[in-house]
Amino acid sequence: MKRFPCLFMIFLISILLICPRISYCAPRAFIQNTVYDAGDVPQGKEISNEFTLKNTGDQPLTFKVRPC
Amino acid sequence: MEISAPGGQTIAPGDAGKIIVKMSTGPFTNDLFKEVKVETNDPKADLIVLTMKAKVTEMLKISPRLVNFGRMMKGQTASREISVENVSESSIRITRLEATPENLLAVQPSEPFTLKPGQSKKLTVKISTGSSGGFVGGYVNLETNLEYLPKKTVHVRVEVKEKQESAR
Repeated sequence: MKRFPCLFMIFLISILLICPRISYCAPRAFIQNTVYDAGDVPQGKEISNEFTLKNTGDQPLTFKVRPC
Repeated sequence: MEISAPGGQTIAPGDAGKIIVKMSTGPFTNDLFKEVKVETNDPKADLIVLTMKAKVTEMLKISPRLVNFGRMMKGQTASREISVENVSESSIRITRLEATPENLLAVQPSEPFTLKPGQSKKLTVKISTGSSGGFVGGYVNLETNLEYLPKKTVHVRVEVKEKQESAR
């Protein structure tokens, strides 16, 4: 009977050790400026912008882009 | 709209990738607002919305943009004026004027012309309804010497009736 609290304590400590690891093991997507305002543009002229997507996490970040 | 990710669609931890968005302002007047969705495997940011904004200024103002002849009888002819104004700061040459369908529509003058900054010109759109009834849609194209505005289109509409509707 005395073994149960002991096993429970080991389980609890293991969870506490694993949990932070789980929360950090993820990709993190970060884009500084998500809005690009080109200002006044003559009709017909092309506008373009380069958005920088940074992975601040510790796992590879995958992404797909599509127009709305 | 053209979207590209030149570095691929996977970014290693600590690295950065590029998303290039290109779009023409051609079909827009006044406010341009377009969004691009970025779907990621980040559990906390699985959808990021990128926004492209601009205030599109017309170089060549055409009024009206739609010529509606309303209801006409078969075999009738009618004409409407449209105004073309150069609101840019440099000369614009209209290199070609074309009305389609050719058997029903015509634009006059049909010769190329140049508009100096601030200058405007009236054009006449003529329609001959022909022998078939129903809704007819056409357009007048004005081709320009502007690299980023090769063409401006004026749409034309008419409803051709078989015979005069009697008043009740």
